[in-house]
Amino acid sequence: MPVPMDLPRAMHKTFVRDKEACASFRKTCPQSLRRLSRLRRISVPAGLLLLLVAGQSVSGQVKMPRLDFHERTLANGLRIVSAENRTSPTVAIQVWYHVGSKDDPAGRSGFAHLFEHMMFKSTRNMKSEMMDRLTEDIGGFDNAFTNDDTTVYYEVVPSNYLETLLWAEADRLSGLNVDAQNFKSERDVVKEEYRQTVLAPPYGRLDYFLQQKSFTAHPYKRPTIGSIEDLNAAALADVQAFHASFYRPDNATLVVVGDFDQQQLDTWIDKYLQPIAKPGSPLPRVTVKEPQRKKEVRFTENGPNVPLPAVGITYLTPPITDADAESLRVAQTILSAGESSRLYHALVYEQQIAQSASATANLLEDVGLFHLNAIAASGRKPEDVEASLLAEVKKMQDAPVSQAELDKAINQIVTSQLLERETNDGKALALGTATVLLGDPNRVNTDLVRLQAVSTADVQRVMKKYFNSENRLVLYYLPEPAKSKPEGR
Amino acid sequence: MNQQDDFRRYAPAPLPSSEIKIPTPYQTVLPNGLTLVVVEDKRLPLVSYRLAFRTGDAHDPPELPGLTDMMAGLLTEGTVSRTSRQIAEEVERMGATLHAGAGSDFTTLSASALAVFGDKILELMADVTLRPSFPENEVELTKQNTKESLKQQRAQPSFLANEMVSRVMFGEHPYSRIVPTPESIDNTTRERLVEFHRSVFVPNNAVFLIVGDVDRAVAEQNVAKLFGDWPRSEAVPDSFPQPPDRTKRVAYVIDRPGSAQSNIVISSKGVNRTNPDYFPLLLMHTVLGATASSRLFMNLREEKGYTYGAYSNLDTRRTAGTIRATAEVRTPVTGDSLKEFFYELDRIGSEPVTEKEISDAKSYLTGVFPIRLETQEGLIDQLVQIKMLGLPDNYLQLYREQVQKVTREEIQEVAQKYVRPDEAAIVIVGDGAQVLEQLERYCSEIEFYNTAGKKKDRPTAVGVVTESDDSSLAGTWSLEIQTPFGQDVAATLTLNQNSEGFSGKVESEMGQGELANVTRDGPQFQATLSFAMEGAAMDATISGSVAGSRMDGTISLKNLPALSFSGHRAE
Repeated sequence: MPVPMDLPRAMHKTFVRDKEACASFRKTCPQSLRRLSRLRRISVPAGLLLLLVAGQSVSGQVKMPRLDFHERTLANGLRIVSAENRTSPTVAIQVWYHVGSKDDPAGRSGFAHLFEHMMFKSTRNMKSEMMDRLTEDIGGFDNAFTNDDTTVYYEVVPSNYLETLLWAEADRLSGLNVDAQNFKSERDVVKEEYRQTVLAPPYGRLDYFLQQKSFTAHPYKRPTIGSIEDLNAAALADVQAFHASFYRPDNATLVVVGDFDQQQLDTWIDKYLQPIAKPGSPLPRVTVKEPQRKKEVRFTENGPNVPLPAVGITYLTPPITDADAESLRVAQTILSAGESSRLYHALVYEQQIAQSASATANLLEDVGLFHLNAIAASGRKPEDVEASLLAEVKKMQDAPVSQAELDKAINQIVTSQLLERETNDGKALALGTATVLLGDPNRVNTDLVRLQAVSTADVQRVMKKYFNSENRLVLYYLPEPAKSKPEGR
Repeated sequence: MNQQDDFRRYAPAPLPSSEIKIPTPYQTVLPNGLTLVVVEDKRLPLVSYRLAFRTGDAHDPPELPGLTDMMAGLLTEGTVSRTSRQIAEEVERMGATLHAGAGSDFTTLSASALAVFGDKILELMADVTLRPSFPENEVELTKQNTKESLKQQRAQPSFLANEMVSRVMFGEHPYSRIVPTPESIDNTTRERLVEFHRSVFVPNNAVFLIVGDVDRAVAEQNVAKLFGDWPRSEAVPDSFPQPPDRTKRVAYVIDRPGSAQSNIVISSKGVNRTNPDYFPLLLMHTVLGATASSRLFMNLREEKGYTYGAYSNLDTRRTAGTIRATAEVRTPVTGDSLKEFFYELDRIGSEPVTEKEISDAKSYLTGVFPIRLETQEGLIDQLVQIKMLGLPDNYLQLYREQVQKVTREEIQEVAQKYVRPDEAAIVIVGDGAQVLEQLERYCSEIEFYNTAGKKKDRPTAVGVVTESDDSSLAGTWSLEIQTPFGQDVAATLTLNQNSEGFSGKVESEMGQGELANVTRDGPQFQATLSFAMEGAAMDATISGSVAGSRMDGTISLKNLPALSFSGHRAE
């Protein structure tokens, strides 16, 4: 059973297995792969986990080609990062808005994500869902996602349609034309998404609670999907206000990767995006600082339809730009990637104390959160699961991991990154993350060096530095009715 | 209105589409008959491998359906020199992937890795291909898992529909069987797997494909070294009976009482993948129902709102095929949906598609094509299809041209030739009693089946049950409880009304119990019961709602997820 806080899942799309290719398989061929892309317009539960590596080599062997890009900033503040890749006649277009669920208006948790859905409704010159038609009907695809820090809209189309998509993105950046009917029906869609992702899965509430409890002051404590009450409170007037506050050229980054000519791209940008005015008002920014944790905090929550107890443990970690970020990613991979990972091997395979166990380094813009999650095996107590999780943490604090384990983790990270770099939209995602969250698009070419520099001593050091009891939050998620009392102090 | 407003008003037109560069693969045949196909692609330090055999589920021994699938799944579960766990760990250490799987026409081993590990993963691939050991414990585990997934599949209406379509459309042709039977699983032994592996995995019936950052000559040497000693043997041929000709429209209803939806598949006899009518049919299918802008979707979903999606499916395999139209619709609009389906199936043959429709379909097909080829995995999958389905080697180079040259007249011709609505098979998985009257208007010959595929009597038509029907709760009810394990458990609920209210009991294969604290609110009731299950007593709650002769509800055993049930008043 997957532990829900499994971030790459929401990012790694497995689409475009087209019907022709399926036809010779006897299993029922999915009828509506293309239509499913609308369902994928979902909230990423928390920050963007991108494993940014590039540049030189792994163990002196793997060479990764440089990703050359072109940067431009318009007078209205819009930033453009573009990379020509003429090997295939396709192009990926992404617009990154630097607004996420941490920017939800007061009393409107979930609004940034609800707003993302509204961006597919009518605009000044497009009717509702026209973006889907402009992409899917010519064999491409489109979608969007929202996380704590950003909202990203993306399309992949045959390259001869690039101008059309720039026109369309410019149109929805300049203004929405949403009516009450559209707003209500889309709000219902988001509420249904809440039910499907939070209420229906047996452990949907676990991550919801973990996110809520893990932050005391910072708005990261509001889950991206929001709450039903706040979604109900949202009104049509909020939509226009939110667009005015955050959907402005000086808060957006356009990323274009694929088969185009840079000069031609520049003329289209001049035509469609340059004339959009920059508002005079200042951009609202979250300034709240999350205080350091001083002592261990414990909670117990109960949920309906919980087959077996689950345990979630979180530690606050530094922001995504911190020098320790790579070491934390490596630690996550060693703990959690695959059946030979430490957590799976110890808790699931050897001790059979848990039916699943995972670790996630959720690296965010303001302050990060490292999760350890496990679901107890049948008949096992949450106390035992917690003890086993903490024992694995302690092992990595007491002794360095082996060089073989470190190499395996780096191989896994590099492979997934290379696979992402195969496609234009994967390259665009890497460039967008580097530009918006790391502040420098060239991080796509330098981060492999950082990853390679991670030593077994570094992994041990970050485990000691962040995984201490003062920085720990423990949540037991148990079946109803409550059998155990909260052990909080 | 100024100039700026004008150009903003309408989407700019596309430019002419760019050239697509399709690599020409290097191809050779080793002395033992193994075909090798290599595409050097050095853009990224990755490599993908496929070893594909021209034998698939269609070549299962008739008494052992599912054998190919099981054999393929077990390849990575142990070799003469490696355990299942060792294989998994070696793959993980490299950050690589290694899988095997089977389809109707062919079986594939797939691997991908960083180019630096290309030789290592190739060696592992050779080991699992040539020296699998089919360990007893892994065989046993696979048999258990296969049985479990079979139960889960049987709970899926889409599976039941596909199973029936395959059965009626392919007849004696082996595409008619899509899953193993509990008996064939039981009768599968290690010895049989070993023998079957030896007989179908022959080099002269296989193609080895490589796409990625490799040196062609080195790759050829490595493959020859690892696979060169593999002896040539007799290749299993495709000698199958023809699927039956259809002469009239017949409906096949798989009865699931209480279903809120009808899963509809309307099927006509199709063609195999190399038929010269393939491209006109592909265009026809694109106009009719391939996408969310096609006719079926626009009609049944956008205009009528009967369904979340309505599509067509062009199923063209190596030796036969079907043309299908499908949707899951709300039970009360089953008949209305059939009306729209047949309207569209008639129209595609009776009048030519419009200029805009054919041009949109061509844009779609030529547009999706390069996106599909963007990755190594995407390209190698296409090359596997070409090799396994017998398509010409320049298929990818000619694809866009073939699409472009189809005419409106050709689309109409193939529609008339193949779609044939009057000879179609209508498969419906749904509530038989409720769909019967709706269906009779569109089809005079109707056969009924239960979910196990056994023929059953025609149920009594109840017409469409409306929510407002007020009914007495008292009586005996035959219910099916849906369990998380896939299979339904039959239960009988008895409700007796007396001066003090209701009493009653539940009897099922799982256990039984007396009802207590029965409360009623109109057509709904709730009760608690103490459920005796395998000697232990468990507290449970049950609630149900009656509409006409139908009951739906849930039963919850303490601390476990609620189970849904539905059913009918017993005779």
